[in-house]
Amino acid sequence: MRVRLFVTCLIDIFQPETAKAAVRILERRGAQVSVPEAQTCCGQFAYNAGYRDEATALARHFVEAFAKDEADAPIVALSGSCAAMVKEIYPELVGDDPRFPALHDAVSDLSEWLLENPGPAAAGGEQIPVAFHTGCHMRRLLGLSDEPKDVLRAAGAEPRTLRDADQCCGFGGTYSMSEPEVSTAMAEAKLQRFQEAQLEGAAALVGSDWGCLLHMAGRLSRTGRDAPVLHLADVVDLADTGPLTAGRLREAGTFGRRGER
Amino acid sequence: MREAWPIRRYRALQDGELRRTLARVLPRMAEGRVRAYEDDPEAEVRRVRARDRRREAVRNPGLVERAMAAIEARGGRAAQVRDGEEAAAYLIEIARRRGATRVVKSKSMVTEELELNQRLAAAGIEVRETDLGEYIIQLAGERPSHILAPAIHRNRSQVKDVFVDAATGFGVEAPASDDLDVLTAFARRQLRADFLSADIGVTGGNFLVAETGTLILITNEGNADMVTTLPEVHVALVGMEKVVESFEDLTDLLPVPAMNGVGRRLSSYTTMISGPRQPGQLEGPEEFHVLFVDNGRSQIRGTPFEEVLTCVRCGACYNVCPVFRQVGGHAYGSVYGGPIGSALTPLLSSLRYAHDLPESLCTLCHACVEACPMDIDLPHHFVALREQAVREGLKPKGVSLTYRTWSHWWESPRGYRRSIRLARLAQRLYERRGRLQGGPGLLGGWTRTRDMPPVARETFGEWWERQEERRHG
Amino acid sequence: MVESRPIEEFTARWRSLTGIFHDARGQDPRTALGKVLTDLVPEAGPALVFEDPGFPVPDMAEWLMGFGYEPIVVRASAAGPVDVDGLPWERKNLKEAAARAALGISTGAWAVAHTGSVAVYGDRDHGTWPSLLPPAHLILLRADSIYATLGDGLRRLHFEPGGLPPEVKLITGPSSTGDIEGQPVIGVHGPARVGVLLVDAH
Repeated sequence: MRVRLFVTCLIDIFQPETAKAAVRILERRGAQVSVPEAQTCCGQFAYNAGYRDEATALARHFVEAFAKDEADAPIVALSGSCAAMVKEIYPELVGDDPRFPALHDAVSDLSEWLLENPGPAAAGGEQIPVAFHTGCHMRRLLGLSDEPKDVLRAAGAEPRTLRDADQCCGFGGTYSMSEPEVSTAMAEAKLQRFQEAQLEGAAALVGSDWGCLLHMAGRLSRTGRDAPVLHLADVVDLADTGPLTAGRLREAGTFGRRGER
Repeated sequence: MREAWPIRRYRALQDGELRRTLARVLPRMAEGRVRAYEDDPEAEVRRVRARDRRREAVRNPGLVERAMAAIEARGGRAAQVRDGEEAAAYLIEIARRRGATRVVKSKSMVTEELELNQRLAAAGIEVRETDLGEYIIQLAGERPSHILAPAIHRNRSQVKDVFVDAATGFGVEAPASDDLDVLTAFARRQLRADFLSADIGVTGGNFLVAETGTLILITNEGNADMVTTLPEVHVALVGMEKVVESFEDLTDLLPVPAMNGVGRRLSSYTTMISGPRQPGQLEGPEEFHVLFVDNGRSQIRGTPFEEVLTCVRCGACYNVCPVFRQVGGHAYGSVYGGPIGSALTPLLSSLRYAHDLPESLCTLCHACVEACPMDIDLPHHFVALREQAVREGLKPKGVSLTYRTWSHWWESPRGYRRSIRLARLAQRLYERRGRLQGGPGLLGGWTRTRDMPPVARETFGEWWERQEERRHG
Repeated sequence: MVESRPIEEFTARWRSLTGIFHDARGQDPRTALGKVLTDLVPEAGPALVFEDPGFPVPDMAEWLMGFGYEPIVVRASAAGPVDVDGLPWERKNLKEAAARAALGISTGAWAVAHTGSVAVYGDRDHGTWPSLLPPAHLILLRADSIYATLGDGLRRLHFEPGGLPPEVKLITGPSSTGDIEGQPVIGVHGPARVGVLLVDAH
């Protein structure tokens, strides 16, 4: 089965290891992965800030980049928020493009694809508790909240929902840059919940959006509280290649080391 | 003059006690709503019907006139007022005619909006707020910080401080402790005397039924019923968007504020007032007036923002908003705070006056629209207001230049890659121990409080290209 | 016919809101009154009774005196409310009497099972001050006036013989607030304790 990877700009530029992990787990599950090379960014940063014309231009470019070939192959996104941009916002920006409806229907989040295409069963052993953070757009715009947790369970992790899980972590795209003070106060509230989860045994903070995760990992790093932070794809890739352990999660997920591998 | 957002933000984030209080109280209110729906399977059906009736009502421009005719037919008086000045003039005229000097009020956001208390005070009329939360902030000289619980920013010991100061001024015994029953008893005792001696009672209105001219007041404390039945005059100020068509609509509407605000099927008191007292009746006012307030509402009607007028002021969006939970209501610098306030404030006044609200107090997390019983799509409206701010040139030039250049470069793979190569060069200035700890423009906003990984030595795209070349090359 | 399901649902919801409820159906009304008053009022004192011409309880004042209360009677008449001696009440005096009463007694026009609410009217024949000014309020409620839903109750308002009353108040629990730290406190301005005495239809 052919699968097109919607890498997303943050992962492409700052967390390429997650995209490589995604390619590996997709291929292990029988997918023939292609990466439309012209893809850049979905344009959400411009749309959210009120630059509609600019966002529309980026949306048109997305359609160009993905409509080139294999019009029916699933497009698997590595960010719930970027997938939501295409599925929920693009209709008002590029809804008039005849090529768009097929793209719209092809896009799904990685967790949905993984649930439909389960891979090799996780090597038994004990389930490793991890704290799971569901991104707001994943939860509220795509309506996915159990799916990523089901994927983690199948990978041998025990996802734990944070207290006040309904609360945004404060990332909010460029909100994190234009309003660093409020954004950071929100990150601290979220990280307090994460630390509670750590005390109860959570070995890592896992999410399916590097936006939220970079924001929280960046705060942990700045305040000297390094803790493993990983994307769902990273965790599944680890589980595919051996039993999940707290040590392997730490090795793979510590901020600042990721780029060095 | 409205204080600038950075000042309001600084003050709010400095206040750790405020954040602790909000973190304790707001989740409880939000969970109450969720549980109430779980507990009552038909509530969702009623909510959707209520929403549809509200949507029809705000689109119907004839309802106010129908309501006015119905009120007059039952012996009440009705008028329309454009703004705070007209509303105050109407009340001052009544006060002069009757020689009245003392007003008691129940909680009303619209009177806050009209700055009615200040206007009446300037005319020598003494106004006493009687809702416990409003009483606290009136004594403290503050503004409400939450639509349901105006004094939510104060904890019990801070409330006690306010009452102790007030007791000294009144020459009465101060509350002996910060026990909640003691504090409440102090307010009850003080306010009872005000109720019994007041000349005019002023209320807002949760809804008003056009068909019968019936005013609906929903409260828990019982103060509104004091205000409407003890003085000889009752004046209700009702936003023109609060009118609903028929009595039948109330079946689905009456439970909405309490269900969604605090998770109760009905508040303690739901009072329906259809006129002044009848001949032979001793309770209730001799005069019953309803003022329909515009104050910017008609400029929202018929625009893409019209649905914000369906808001029933339940407070559900305040309770779930993650930004509100960090900064509290005063940070909005406006009468209506919280998510709905971030839309209502600029729409009722102007975007130039309050574009900071939709821009700076929302991460677009969509929690508000999920909680809203009227399904008001606030995130959508915030984006539309941000777009309007861009069109009206309200954004700093440097910000617009950044977004435009960024978007332009990323419209092509070539520009995208070039920007990455440039960033790799530039980031050497800011890289410490494998992390970016500073940067220009927006990146600098990030790195002020958080580290950022540097641009990867090889992006995924570059790596993939290398793989493809190896495979096919 | 009196349906039992709404009565049961109302009873359960009202109990969960106030805890003060007594089913006097088929019981001696005086004994039942004594029981509910024990739950409702810590100490006997002045009791404001607004008599409902549509629901007379002729011995109420006498019973109250028997329990040590000082009844203050408001009785509707064509010329306006009168006291127990037939002398007309003045608004100011009635206000003061209500404010010093330890207990208010009035009749519920109807009730809603689903929300646990009782409707009281303010019109020529009914008063709402007994439900507002004293620290405790007792509602006499006829078992045949309990509707299943709020809509059923509201629809009835259109058929009131005197027309829509100037004031209709739905009481759903005691006077309460959460204005300090979101913590519930009862008895802010209105009664902290409100009880229902459920009586037979006749």
